[in-house]
Amino acid sequence: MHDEACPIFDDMIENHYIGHKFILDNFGVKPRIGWQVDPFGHSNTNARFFAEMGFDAWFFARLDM
Amino acid sequence: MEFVWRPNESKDTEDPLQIFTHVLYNGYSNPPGMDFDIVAGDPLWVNDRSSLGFNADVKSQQLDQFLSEKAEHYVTDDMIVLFGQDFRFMDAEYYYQSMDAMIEYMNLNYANKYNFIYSTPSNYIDALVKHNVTWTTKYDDMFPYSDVPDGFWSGYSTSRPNLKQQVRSLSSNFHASAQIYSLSALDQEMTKQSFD
Repeated sequence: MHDEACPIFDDMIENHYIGHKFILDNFGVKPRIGWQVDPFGHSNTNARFFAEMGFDAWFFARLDM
Repeated sequence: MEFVWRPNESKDTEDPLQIFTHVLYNGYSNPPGMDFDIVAGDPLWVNDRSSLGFNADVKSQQLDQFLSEKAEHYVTDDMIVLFGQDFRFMDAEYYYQSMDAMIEYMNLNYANKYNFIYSTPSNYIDALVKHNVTWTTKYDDMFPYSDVPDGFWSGYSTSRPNLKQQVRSLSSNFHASAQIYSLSALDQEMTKQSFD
């Protein structure tokens, strides 16, 4: 779960590459659900990122009061 | 609180880039009063009527009320209910004893209204697909975030510019090196030894 306001695209990809490789190597699973439950605000970039990674859905929790 | 997000205004294409988005109802927390972990203060769920700690009647009413309110904000009759919070499941068995009791009690006493099962986000999404709902669509972003009235998280996008510049610069060097490394790996004459 990365922050969505400050990081640039390349680093988000790198972050997910490392995480997904670990999950694939150790559990043989490719995640298809995003779990962005604690970043403070949500970006268009991130929606595109999850969509392009082939995710089916994502969850988040923080929405304006 | 569920919709399809199409970023970058890609609304008119034949195969738009999009992702299904679920906004959780009460953060990533358990229903109120149902924090069964060893580090939390809520009483455990007890089904045994002969026990002094019996509370399933009160707790189930609380849970029913919470879920009924929550249901008004979602379209389908499948619902995801989270358990846990930061630093929970310190002693997972302890937590699961309460959840087992809750599921047993609810499925016995509220069978005409609920069917409780252990599940995962993927199972929930699979269940939603079967409802064949046409979801609303969102195109723009969710910034700046406001968690209290008149309070906005705009500063953290703009503060510490020097540090952010440093991260950008490092990141740029890192990804450039990664590309050079990859290109040289394509050179058939290079062996694994010459990389090391």
